[in-house]
Amino acid sequence: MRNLIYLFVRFGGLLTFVGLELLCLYLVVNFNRKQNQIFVHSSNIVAGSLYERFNEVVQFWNLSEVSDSLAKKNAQLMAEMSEAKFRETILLDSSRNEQTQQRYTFMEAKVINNSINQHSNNLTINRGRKHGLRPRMGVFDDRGIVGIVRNTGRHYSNVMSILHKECRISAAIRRNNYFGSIVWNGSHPRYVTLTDIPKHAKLLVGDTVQTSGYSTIFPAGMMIGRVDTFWLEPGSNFYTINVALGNDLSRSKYVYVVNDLMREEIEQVEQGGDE
Amino acid sequence: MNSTLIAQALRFVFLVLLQVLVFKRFTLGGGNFNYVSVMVYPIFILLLPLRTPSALLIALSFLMGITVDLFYDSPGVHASAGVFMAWIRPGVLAILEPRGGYNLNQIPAKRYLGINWFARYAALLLFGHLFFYFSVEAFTFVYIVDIFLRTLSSFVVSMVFVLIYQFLFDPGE
Repeated sequence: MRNLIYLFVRFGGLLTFVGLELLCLYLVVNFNRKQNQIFVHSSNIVAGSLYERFNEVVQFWNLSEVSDSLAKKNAQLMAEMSEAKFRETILLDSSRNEQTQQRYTFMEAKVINNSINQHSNNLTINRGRKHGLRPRMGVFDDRGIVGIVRNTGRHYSNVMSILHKECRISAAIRRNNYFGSIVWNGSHPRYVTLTDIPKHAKLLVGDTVQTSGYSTIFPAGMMIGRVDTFWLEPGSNFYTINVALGNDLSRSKYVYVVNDLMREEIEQVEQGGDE
Repeated sequence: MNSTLIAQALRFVFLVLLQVLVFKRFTLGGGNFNYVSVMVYPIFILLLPLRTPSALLIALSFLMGITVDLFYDSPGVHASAGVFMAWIRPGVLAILEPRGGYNLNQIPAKRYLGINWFARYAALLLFGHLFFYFSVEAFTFVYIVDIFLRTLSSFVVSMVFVLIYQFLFDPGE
């Protein structure tokens, strides 16, 4: 009690001041229309920005979920595009009966491990046999191709990056359809080499290089990159072309896996087997 | 002691009446130019005895402010300014303390401490009061220029009346 009195004597002025000012504030806000409006408005601003901050945080946590669902949706939409279909057009009595059959389906995946600075670079993605992955499926992202599935585990798969010295991908110049192979010479992670383009082909710097579709790995027409420089090795009949990749493999996070539904049939035919 | 109490009570009533009956109607310019409001009730807070405990000083100022608020229909606005003024009064007194110190039995008025001293004392407190008052009245610092204009114009006019009050009544207790 004594201490309490002492406290009041010591800080009585301050306590009274704070207490009465709070009371005044209460009165001002509750019984004055103008101040009340300002108060309500300001507290709305404060509360509103608080909610907004909170939502930003929540959104941030949800972001990966959102991206997952978007990637999934993307994969579904890609399967709907005409490049992914096998066209069975039959001409019957001049009436055109157009039928398409699904040729490619796509599955979204997340890169969980990646390397770009070695001679043989690999990625690990979070899809495996359980999700229907098999070796020799193509992997790409939203800006270009990424690699080819090499080993599949139950839940994860190992992807041979296009930055791998054993990786060969059939590619073509979009403008004139000359095709060759994409390889990597192991120097720069943003450049690959397109070989086997014959020297009678007319090339321009900036020509788009895309997948040729001459394999069961990638559908035709997928962007790979652009012609950066090209030259003829002495005595060679084929150009050596430096291609600047459209994508940056060091940043690939969401990728898609190509599933060619007609692969077995094509492979069988190509190997001379019979039905 | 008793006479002091009565004197203070009378001053309280007188200043409230003066404020709400006379100066409430007094607006210079009129119309939209509403920059001058004359405040005389702070005189009550100015003239409370020097020995008044800080808590009591603040409580009395609150009482004064809320009474004026009743007539101004602005609950809390004058009261908060009064409370603020009472809270800074000891500090202002400390700044203006004369060489010989205060005689705690007196009130801080012209009669004891001279007109120069009183003018400085009243000016500091009145400016604080008015600035606080117009801030609370606007309730936002968006119109800070406006707040300063109102404070300055009201300060000049109110100061004149505060000094006139000193000369007219020359309060001794």
